[in-house]
Amino acid sequence: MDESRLIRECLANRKGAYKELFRRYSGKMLALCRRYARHEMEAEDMLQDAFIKAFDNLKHFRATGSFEGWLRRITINTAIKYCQRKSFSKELTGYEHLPDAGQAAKAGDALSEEFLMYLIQSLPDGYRLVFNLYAIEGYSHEEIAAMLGISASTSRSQLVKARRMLQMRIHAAETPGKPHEKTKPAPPLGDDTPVKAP
Amino acid sequence: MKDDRNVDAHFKHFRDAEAKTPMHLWPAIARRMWGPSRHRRYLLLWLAGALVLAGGLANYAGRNGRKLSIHPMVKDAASIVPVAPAAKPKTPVASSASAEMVVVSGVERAQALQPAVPATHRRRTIAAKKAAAVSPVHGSSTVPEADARITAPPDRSAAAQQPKGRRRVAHSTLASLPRLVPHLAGQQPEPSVQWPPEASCSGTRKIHIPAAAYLELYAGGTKAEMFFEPKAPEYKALARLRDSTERAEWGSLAGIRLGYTHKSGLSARAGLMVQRMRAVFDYTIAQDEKMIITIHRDDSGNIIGRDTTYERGMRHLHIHNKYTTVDVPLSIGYISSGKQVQLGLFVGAALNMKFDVRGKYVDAIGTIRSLDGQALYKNRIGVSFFGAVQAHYFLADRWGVFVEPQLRFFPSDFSTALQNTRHKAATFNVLGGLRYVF
Repeated sequence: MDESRLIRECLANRKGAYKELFRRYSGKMLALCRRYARHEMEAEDMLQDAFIKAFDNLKHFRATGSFEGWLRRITINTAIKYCQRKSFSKELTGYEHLPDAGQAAKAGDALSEEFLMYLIQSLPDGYRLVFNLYAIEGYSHEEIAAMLGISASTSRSQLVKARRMLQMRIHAAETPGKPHEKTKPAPPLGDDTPVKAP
Repeated sequence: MKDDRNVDAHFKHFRDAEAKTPMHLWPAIARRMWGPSRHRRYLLLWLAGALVLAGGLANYAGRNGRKLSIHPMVKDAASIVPVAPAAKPKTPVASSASAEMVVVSGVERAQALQPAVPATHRRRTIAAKKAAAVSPVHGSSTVPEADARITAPPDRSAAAQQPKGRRRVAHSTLASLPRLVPHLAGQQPEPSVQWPPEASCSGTRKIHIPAAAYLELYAGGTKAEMFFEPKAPEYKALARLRDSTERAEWGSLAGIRLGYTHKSGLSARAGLMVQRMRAVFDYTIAQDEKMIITIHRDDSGNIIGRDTTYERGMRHLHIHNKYTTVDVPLSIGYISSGKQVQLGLFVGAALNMKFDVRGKYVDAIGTIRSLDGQALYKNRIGVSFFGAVQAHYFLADRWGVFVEPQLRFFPSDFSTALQNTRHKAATFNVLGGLRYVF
């Protein structure tokens, strides 16, 4: 079924069409959310909110651009709002800087996709947002400044710092013999690890 | 700088990256899209509140009606006034026409106040004082006189001849009309009974409880005890683990309720209550990594550098979960009354309107997840049962404060089929609040 028809079906309130839209785009959007979130749980929450917002506003979608682009923009805005929430910044203490152990456990090989993702997730919030928006999404500093409510120069300096931090860590990972700098995550949880329900 | 820019190249491919979506995400979105809306839940809550309020108002209106049922007798007495020549009062008063009106309203007020307040000797005196003080025609000299008569010691032999119950009160009030209104004294035969009618008012502790409706506002603390039971034999260890790691802390509750006490001491109450239980669980990940960022500053506080180091070790998590219930509690009980203190014993059931759990949990592979948007707990948990003891102290005519320890048990399982353990709770609540007697 093509995209425009799928959207028409959604507007006719067919649950199957909504599910199909979710199935098509949830993978890409989840990958996007993971870059903005600090851990998996937050990424999933972001994704849920983004899809609900998109479904609620589907009637406002004009087929001038691609649906994916429209959905991506909604998801990015949702992620930014998440990161700007007070509770989000208050959680930044101690271990909370780290992604989940499960997530980190996958980051075994240097420069593997998981490792690079881990590096993004471990960036401070401000750096992570600017780096994602500029280096990956391709927004200009002026656009980023407008989206985040900061000045363009702040955006530039945050980007430089983020790049420097990433460069340092990548370099450390590629160079053997610097154990404390190399981000070697915890091994997977053993069978004897207490497991809490459900 | 060039090196820095090259960093971007490592991450460019993330733009088109795709991840595998967990199975539970779509059901969570579908539930938020098409599940029972918040508006509907609030509507139900408001309906319940409105029902309780309507019940209370109806009760109050009913009581007004009963008060009016005494009026015909009073009116009979008052109707004599216009046709009879007004005797000159000992104290200066307004014209007889206005005096009739005010006198009747004064008596009405005295009668209206009587059933609503506990029939302690002291409080009846207050009510009568108020009634006398309200009526301007009594003048300053009549008030002490009325008081003196009202507070006079009871005549037990005369009281024994009086009719029982409400009729007795109405009769006595009528009989005392000339005493309360001196300028009417000549028109009424001197009653053979003294005020107060009840022999029990002479300082004994046994108090007659008047039928009364009341409104209570309360708040307090709640401490929960959580119970975990396995849903299958293989989850016994899991249930034990949850039992040992999850413990409750003091939460809070607040509510409003309307009650009605019969003169026999039986009482019924209904209202709306919000209770928030708080639970904590500690979780330890045997091996984890901690990132330490050290910021270096110069003497003037400017940041001059930053070190990032990693430490391996155990990770302890201290997770707070909140369980919120919104209930309509209904209870019946018995109240025993002293001079200023009432003690009540209540049992009841609370119908749950909303159950909500916020917090986190650890899934089977050790990942910490949010409970938001996941169907791990029910939205409603049916009926819970409670028992309570209430001690109430009258501060004034209609106002009082009370304290009420409560034990509450939730027999229903909080968890849905997605959990492997049944989750129940019992709570110990301590309520304190204000009571207004209508």
